Amino acid sequence: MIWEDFREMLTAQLVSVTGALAAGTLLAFAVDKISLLPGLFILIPGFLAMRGSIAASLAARISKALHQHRKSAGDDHSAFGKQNVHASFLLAIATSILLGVVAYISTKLLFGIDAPGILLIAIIAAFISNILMIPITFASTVWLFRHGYDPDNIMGPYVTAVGDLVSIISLLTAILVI
Amino acid sequence: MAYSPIKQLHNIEQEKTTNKILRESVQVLAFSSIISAFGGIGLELVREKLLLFIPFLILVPAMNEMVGGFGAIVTSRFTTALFTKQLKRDHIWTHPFVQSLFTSTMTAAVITALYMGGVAYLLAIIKGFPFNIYLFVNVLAVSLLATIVLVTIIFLVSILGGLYVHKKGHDPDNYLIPLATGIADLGSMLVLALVLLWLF
Repeated sequence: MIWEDFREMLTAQLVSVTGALAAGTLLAFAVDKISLLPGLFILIPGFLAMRGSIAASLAARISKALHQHRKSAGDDHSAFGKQNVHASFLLAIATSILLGVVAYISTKLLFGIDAPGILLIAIIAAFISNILMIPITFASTVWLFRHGYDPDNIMGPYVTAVGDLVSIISLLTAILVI
Repeated sequence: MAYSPIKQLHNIEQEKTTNKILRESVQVLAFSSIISAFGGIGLELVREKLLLFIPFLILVPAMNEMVGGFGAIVTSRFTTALFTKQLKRDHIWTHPFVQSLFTSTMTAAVITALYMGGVAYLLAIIKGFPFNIYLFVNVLAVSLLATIVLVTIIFLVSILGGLYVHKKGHDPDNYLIPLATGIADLGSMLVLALVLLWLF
């Protein structure tokens, strides 16, 4: 039992950390862009945590509904599916605005730099990452369930690994847009 | 009627499931995001060093991810055991379940930390960062020490918090997982920032 717990824990962590290392490598390749943006490091940890929490919660809710035989949960046109997608989208945008405001105020108060662009970057990045992550999360959860897997055992590390990559790509795209 | 995004948003907010999810999640998400942003302030203080020493920059998302992940695992396993009465509140620290949870968590954390530090340096070399044995050992040491300290703190918070929340009769998953991941985010970023200040 202890060995089984240890094996599951280690596998899940190695998968999610590998995704996060890939995200870190993307950051390393964009050092010249990042160095021009004060406040970005204040945004990054919160943005990554938020993206992972929202996607993991979405996967858990869809999975729970599928397990409870609410078959329409797997249909993204059903009321349940649609409302879950709406809620995840609104939560991500609201949290990103908050993170952007915190990053902007902290940069201004603590470092004396006025960088309003950070607020816009947070919102654009949240929009891009939502467009990618919500359909990926929804479709993967339903696919796993329909193919006989338990999404609860797989979606956590999978969502955090993919979520980190998508979040960093979204942040870098937002920087390019700005 | 003309298309109105604001009206559409208003209609979405009135939806039953949407409303429930928003109501239950928004405060916890806001709280954990603000805690994580404080950790980010620590990183912003050492941004020059982070941009110069690429292996540490590559470590940032991984460190953030890993400690939070262990926080969520310990909290959910401990509270499930508590609520399903596999555990009694007396002599909690010497209970075989708690001891084996600590041993398996710490062993997995140490292996993950070494993997994380080694791969971060390897990826930095691929990016063109020179190999330096002193720096390589430092990256491994930072990854390992930060992990051991933070996983111990997270373990204590999860057990003590779990006992408290259980006594109050609340669902610990709604409070402790965001709290544990928030502490992990803040702690890991601050430890990374402090170590960079201390080393370089």
